[in-house]
Amino acid sequence: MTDTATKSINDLGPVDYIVVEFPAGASNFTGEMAEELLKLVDAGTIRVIDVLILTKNDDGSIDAMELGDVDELGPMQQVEAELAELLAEDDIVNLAAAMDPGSTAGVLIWENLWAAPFASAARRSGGQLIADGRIPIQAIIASIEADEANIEGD
Amino acid sequence: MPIRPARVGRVGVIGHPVAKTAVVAAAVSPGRSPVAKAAVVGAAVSPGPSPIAKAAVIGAVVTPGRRRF
Repeated sequence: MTDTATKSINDLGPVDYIVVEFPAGASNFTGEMAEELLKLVDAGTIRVIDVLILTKNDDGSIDAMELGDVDELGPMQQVEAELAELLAEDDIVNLAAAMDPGSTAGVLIWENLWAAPFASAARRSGGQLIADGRIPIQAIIASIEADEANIEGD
Repeated sequence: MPIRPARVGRVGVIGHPVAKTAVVAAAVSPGRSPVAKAAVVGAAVSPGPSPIAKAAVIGAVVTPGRRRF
């Protein structure tokens, strides 16, 4: 039995996902993304739970590729071997809804190991997560620049 | 879709169709100066001439002790 299977739900860190879209003709895969991802894994910051590569065709149909089906995975083999295949077929359709036709996207599901001890402590203390989210950097920039514009206008 | 059989017929975890992230919509939500925010969002999300200045304001906003209401 794997560490994943024996891990208590109370010890699980927050699980996030991203869909990173590469418009047609705009991808430039140099291995840099995999290298940075592996750094996070090796440092114990995250645990990769699932990875899929999706392609949305011009007619809206979706092709999904497993990470294990990618040729020459290289160092990503260590990640692929530990994947939990969390996503179901329905999830693929739901995630691909965000994609533009003709694009390819990488879907990444990960556990935030760095947050697990704090989350467990919060649960043991009776706390319940009632809201979470991510603030886009662009929104922060916009807010600050709006403030500065207001100051200059006063 | 050549996905693994284990993914077929299971209950999903996403639950609904995902919408493309709308950064601009979030940034221009009702606030003190929606017009100004709309204007700067356009600049913030497009390649601009002053990336160093933008990096500086990010540094400022995460400075401990700063609160804006």
